[in-house]
Amino acid sequence: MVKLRIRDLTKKFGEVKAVDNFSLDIDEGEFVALVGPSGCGKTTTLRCIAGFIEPDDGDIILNDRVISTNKSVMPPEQRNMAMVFQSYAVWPHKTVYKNISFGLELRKLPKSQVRDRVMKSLELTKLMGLEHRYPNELSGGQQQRVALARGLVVEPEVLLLDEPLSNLDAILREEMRFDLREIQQKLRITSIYVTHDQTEAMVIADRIVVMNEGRIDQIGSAEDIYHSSKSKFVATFVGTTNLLKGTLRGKGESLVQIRTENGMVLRVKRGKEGELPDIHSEVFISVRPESIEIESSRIEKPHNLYRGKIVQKTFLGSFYDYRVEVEKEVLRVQTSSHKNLSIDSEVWVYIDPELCNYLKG
Amino acid sequence: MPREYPKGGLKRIDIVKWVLFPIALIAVVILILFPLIMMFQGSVFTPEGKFGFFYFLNIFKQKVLFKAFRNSMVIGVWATFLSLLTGVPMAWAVSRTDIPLKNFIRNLTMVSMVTPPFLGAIAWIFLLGPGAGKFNVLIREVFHTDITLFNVFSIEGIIFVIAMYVYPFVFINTASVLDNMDSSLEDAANMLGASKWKTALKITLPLVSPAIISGAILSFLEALALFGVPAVLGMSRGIFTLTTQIYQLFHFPPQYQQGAALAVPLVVITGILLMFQYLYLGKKQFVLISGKTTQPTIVKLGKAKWPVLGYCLLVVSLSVMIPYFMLLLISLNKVWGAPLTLSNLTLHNYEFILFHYRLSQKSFLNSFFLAFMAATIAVFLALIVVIYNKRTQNVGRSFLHLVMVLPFAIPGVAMAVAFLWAYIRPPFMLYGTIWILLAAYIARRIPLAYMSCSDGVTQINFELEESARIIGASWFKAILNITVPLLKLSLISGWILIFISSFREISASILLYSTNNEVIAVTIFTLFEEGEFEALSALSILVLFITLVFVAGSRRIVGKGFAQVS
Repeated sequence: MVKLRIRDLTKKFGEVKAVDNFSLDIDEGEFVALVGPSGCGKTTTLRCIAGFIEPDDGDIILNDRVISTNKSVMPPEQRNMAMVFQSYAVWPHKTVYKNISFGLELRKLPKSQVRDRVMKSLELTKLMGLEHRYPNELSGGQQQRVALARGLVVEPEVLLLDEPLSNLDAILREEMRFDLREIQQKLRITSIYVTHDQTEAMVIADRIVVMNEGRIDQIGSAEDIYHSSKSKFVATFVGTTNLLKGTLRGKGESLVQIRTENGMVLRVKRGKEGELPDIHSEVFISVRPESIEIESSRIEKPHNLYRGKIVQKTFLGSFYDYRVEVEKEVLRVQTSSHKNLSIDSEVWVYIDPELCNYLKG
Repeated sequence: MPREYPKGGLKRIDIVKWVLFPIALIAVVILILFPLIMMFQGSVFTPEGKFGFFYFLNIFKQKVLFKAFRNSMVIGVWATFLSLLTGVPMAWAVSRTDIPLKNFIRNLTMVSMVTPPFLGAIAWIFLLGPGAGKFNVLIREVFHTDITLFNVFSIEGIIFVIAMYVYPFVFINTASVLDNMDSSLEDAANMLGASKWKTALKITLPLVSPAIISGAILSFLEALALFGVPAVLGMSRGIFTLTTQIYQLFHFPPQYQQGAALAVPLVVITGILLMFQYLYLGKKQFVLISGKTTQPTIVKLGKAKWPVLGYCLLVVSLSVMIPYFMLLLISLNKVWGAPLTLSNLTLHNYEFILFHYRLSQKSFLNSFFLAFMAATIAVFLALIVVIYNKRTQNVGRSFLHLVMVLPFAIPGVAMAVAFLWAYIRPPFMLYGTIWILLAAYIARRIPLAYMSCSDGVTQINFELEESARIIGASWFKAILNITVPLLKLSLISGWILIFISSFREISASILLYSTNNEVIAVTIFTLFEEGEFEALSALSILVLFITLVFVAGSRRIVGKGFAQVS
């Protein structure tokens, strides 16, 4: 069931289109992440959904009820949403308890019920025993839990999260990702998460929306956007990749042949009919570093087998990061941390056509 | 699952939008802008009611008026010079050297700043009055002569007393930059082989000079705007300044328009200098402070620290300790001038002003009432304007900002002239009532509340309010439950500042009070003119005591609150 429907959302700041024709349906209980570099419009989109920004165009529909059009906008307090901010925005003059109970007091719930619900959300966010503390007596991670509890306690229709973990240190951030996901799964609350960190999005979200310059570049699961990136932007933004520019030389039954600028000939899986460009047209191919095989001894493969030379090597603990020169192209290759090849040595390089990916420009 | 929806927020927004905002904005405009416009208007019409600069030209044509103008300038320039001579070395000494008693000197400078200068002037009459001044008498007795060494009733006397109460502007400005300045700038010079004296002169001094100039401007403007000191020390000897001359013009027959024309140069000079300070110096000062907190390098003075300490102690003695001691002494004396023996000590003067003297009782009540009301209303209005300016996108925000800081540029006497001129006839006939004093106090001091509140709001992250709104608080409820409580300290400190300065206000009150609406400063002035020095001293000591209690209290409240909130 669709919970939140966003149709053609557009917001301009002066001449700049911060959000450009953004459309997305979010299902009940789904966890969606908006990712993209800073200035891509992800936060503006979220703030339009919250009601802090009035969009120039487009509709937002919550539970089949229109809450935002280009003519009228429902104020944030009537949308029954909750939001967690990067700055925590925990009220410094209220105790943890008072922070969390504020939303319930606004709803004029009886005192006993307020108390029950505050206690429940304290438990959920692992804040038991801290309810009488002031925010300045809490760590950053605890403050962010208070912000989360404060939002969850009102049982919102939608939970909005704006880079909630960016101010935390790396270890805590990783821990909190899993906690967030666990809580969301437990409550099955529809959530939208904005982040510039693609790994965070992958850990947390059911579905990832990659945004660039106000537009949606790709929507999909973590696997989709990583392995089947549809644009140069997505391929380079999500993880590292080898981006090869070339022209289409021939189309076969299951494979097509591509010749790169530097003369390397590569066979690539054909893909869906509609997506295939014309012969002689320019294409980009993305190959992930871990999708390339290198061996010091010869391997038997029908296509895409090359001789190469290792020109650079870095040991990064869980893997080796090599630069390999292959037919005038320099490819980045990542292997298991046990495949220790020496620099300047000759290697055999194999690129699986199935793991190569076409891109729009 | 059934969900509770937040209930009705819209109606409340409308109350603010259609009731609170308009009332506050109109009040601010009527209080501040209307009198000033009336004053300017009054000054540019001839006696026949035609447009013209008759009254302005008079300033140069009439010897008395021009002399007053010249006296003000002479006093302003010399008092500023003395402020620099005292404020700068003292600031350097307490911020960057190893002299003892640093906090004592800092605190007494703060006391000097909150001391009403006209009380200082009266105290100095007791010491340096030509006839019975204690110090002059002492010299005569010691050297067996008839010479009067010092006469405080003179231009020099006025300059000296004013300097003792305006030097804190230079001191505080300079010290705060020295306290916060990144001392690696100085360390670099030391590394290159400059001696500590050379570093102080060639590196530190140029770096703090914008702050010094800015403090000097404030000292100059305060010296120009003061009424009490030249009134007490000059008027009886025919020495007039712009402020006392304006006061004189309002005696029978009152020459309103000439008074207005004389106030205009005060306003214009103040406006230009403040503009200069804001536009030019304001930018320069920010460059210095890096944001890192570094421990300033302390210069070890060696033997030189004793003369430096002596100099600092001399200044705080002249501005605070000696005058306070003098007032205290006389307030406890049976008769001013009687020898200081135990049998002459009495509390009778306090008893008199507290229980037997109707004028002082009345003016105490009036001043309390006015200061309390002025502080409360000004803080309330300032809060609404700040919310309007910083938390809405409505029109007229920069205009309102200008109106709210404008009174900074209006000396008290000029403000009083404007109020007289504006509120002496319909539609607002306030003259002759206590309300004209209240209106003038609010208008004069509202910038204090506005600035304090505005700085406070700037430090409050928008997201604190947004996080209340998204979980169901209307705009108004978010402001009321989140923003206003977080502003508590700014509001309290604004309130106390206004209370203290209104409680002993003299410059505007002296022109605006009427019978039954006397305030404390006016009563002290009356006692002075009647020669009731013992009662006057007792009243002064009470005023000083109340002022200091409030200052100390505010420091405690603000200090404590900070630990809780931030």
